[in-house]
Amino acid sequence: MKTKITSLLLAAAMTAGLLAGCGSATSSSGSTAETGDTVFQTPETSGTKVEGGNINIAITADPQDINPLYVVDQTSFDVMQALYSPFFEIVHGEMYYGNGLCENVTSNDDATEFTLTLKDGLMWDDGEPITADDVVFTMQVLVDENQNVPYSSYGFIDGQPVQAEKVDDRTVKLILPESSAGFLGGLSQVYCIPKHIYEGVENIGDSDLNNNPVGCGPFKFDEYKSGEYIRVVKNDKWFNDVNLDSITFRIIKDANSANAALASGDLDARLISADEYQTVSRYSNVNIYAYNSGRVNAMFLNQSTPALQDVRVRQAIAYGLNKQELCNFAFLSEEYADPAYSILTPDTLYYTEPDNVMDNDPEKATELLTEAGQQNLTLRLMYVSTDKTEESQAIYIQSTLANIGINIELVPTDEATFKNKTKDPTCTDYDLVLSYYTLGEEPSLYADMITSDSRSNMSHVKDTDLDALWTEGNSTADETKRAEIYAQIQNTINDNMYIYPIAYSNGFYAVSKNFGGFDECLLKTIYYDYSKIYSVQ
Amino acid sequence: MKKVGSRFIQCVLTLFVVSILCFAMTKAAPGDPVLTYVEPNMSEEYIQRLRESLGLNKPLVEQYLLWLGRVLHGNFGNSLMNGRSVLTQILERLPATVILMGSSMLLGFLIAIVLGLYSGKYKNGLLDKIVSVLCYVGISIPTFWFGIMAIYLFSVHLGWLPSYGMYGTDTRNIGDLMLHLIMPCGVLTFTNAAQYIRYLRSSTITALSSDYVMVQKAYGMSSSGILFRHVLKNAILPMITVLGMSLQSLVSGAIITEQVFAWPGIGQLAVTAVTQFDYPLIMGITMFTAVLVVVGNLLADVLYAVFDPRIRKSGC
Repeated sequence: MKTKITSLLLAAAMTAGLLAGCGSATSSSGSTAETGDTVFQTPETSGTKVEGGNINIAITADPQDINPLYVVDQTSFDVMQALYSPFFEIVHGEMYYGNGLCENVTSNDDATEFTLTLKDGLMWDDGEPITADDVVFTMQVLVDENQNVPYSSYGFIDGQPVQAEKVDDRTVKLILPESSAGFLGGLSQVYCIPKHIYEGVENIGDSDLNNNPVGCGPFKFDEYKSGEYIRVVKNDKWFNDVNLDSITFRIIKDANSANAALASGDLDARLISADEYQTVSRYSNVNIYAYNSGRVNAMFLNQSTPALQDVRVRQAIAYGLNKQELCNFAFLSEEYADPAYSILTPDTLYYTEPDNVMDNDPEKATELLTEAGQQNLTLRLMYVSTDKTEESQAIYIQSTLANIGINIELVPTDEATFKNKTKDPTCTDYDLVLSYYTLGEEPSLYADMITSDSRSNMSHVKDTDLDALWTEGNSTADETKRAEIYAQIQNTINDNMYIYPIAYSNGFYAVSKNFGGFDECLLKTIYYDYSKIYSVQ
Repeated sequence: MKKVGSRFIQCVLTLFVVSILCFAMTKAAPGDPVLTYVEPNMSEEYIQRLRESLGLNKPLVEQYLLWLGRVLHGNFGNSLMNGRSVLTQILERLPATVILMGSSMLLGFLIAIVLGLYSGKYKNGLLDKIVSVLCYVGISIPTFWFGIMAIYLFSVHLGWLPSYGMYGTDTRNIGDLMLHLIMPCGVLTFTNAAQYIRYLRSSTITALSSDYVMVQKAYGMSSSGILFRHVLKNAILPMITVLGMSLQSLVSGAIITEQVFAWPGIGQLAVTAVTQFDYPLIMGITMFTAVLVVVGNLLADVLYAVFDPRIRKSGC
């Protein structure tokens, strides 16, 4: 029975970092013996591991809200993970309890009931015990409309809330209104909040209590100085060992300054982009960890544009481009990104390459354009002006599509305006748009990118058949059937060229040689277990 | 007294007009602030509730009047980004900006007095030529480039100075502050002084050709005495205007310098507010800056009267 349940969970629940979303920054994944290995470059760390010490990690902005139920920005998410432990993680398709509050999660056969068992002796960092009451309270807050939790969708199945029941002090039963194969994917994004702190608070998201958080992670909150840093110190009450004494998240917005600080030793770690790799790799005091970021870089074809409503024009664009060349040009090296042919990442459950790959066939592209009567087509390509990789992609696309008679007008845009335009389902200010998303290993989480009327549907696709397939995929528990549905979804998107996937790009974490353990710290995409970082003498 | 009262009413009216213009301009900017916070898998219901909770669904006039009512009670509202009080955030950042801008303006001013006067006095001499070249460099050099180069030289290669921030990790004392202040303050002082020197040199040359200087020479007064007692008093008048206009930068900060040196001042806060469509924060910073501009101009007028008896007598 247990084997069967585990099998169901594994099949149903592979997931990852939904929170990053479109346009947000970066990610990381790591290698541990227990969780598999996607790191393709883990540098050697010389020296002896020592206990204690402080690491200065760069973040690019002040965190907005580090209450885990209200985190929406990348910076807050990075910091929050030091202060709170998830219930569990799903890493490379497997349930991972290493840094989680749960020691076990089980399900009934039809995936309508899930039982969470907490580890023994868990404590909040203020010394109060973590019990099933906290879990039930968290689930109640999650689905409480008055609390306005941003990702409340994790607590709803088809619009109906999930019920949480306390079984005993360490066990909670979650009852779903109907079967959901992707439920655990969402639940792995939910972090427990302390009932004894937030009970009775009317508006938890705006509460001043969030400025002095009580957490359950490897570190506890120490001090926040606006515009300077947020410091967390070792939580002695955490259930596992923590190597460092403290982490100081230093706020440095400017990438050049941050790199200089890294070179001078004033800063110990920061995420870097592909275009910074060459510069930072020359620093003798720094190691670079490269990892599969779980990110999909893609071009969205806006169907509010009359010309792009013709599938032949969209296909012509795909045939007119050479994807490998585009990747090499934009990401500088084959090692930094792989060409993408599906909207899912290769480590997503039920990923499959489409049957009909459209690539590098200018004659076919010209033929399709002629058939569609679009010989002198001009399209506006929007991208974030400060993103050098997107700028390179745009330049390549412009020059290559000119060969098949499509004139591309580049529309570099500031980030806030970009978000506004791409989140407006009626926007006609762009025909093509370059963006990226990090949605993890659970395929149902990708639905938002291309479901009718969704704000993340940058292609403005309205395809009721596709919508129905996404719904069916999420509610189907049978593994084989699910695989068929998601293969069909990927083929439909490819054949209609709703989205042109460009690359699965890698992420890079530059770390001072005075610190080790990052290979274990980087669990996957944007998920960290900061307890693993240690000082090196 | 009547004139002071009249100027005060002018100031209040100016601030009122600034607030309306600023509010209208921020609202006229394309885009919906709520959409800046939207990520995949957020529900539409959440987005609508967020808009309502921020009061963004109300008519513009009502939004403005609500804002004005709050401001008149000393409440600048809460940031859309993090829900924290706008006033608290501005006050948190104010000391850093005042320290950086105040020290660089003061140093720049003092350097300018000495070098501007001597450049003017020894017009086309070696000192003047060297100072002029440095001034042109200071005026034309991009601050971000200068800042980064300074970091690479003094932090990365020489290891003398910290590369970013206002304090180190564990130390928050005056010595640590001074150490962190040297580079950003040095960069700003260089660019500020370059501008001030040009003003002072020019007015010194004009003043030196005045009749009263000839008279003082005829009376046998020493050249440094003439320079500092008489020429400076006249040559400094244009500087008062420049400084008065610069007073607002004590609050608005040096955005680029703060960014390059990760200095936690209001300049960085303003950039974040603008990029995040954070209207309450934009309004708060703008009004703070507007108050300083108005006060700066008022002070400049008063100082003009102090330094120039002609203005005092004419009652302008």
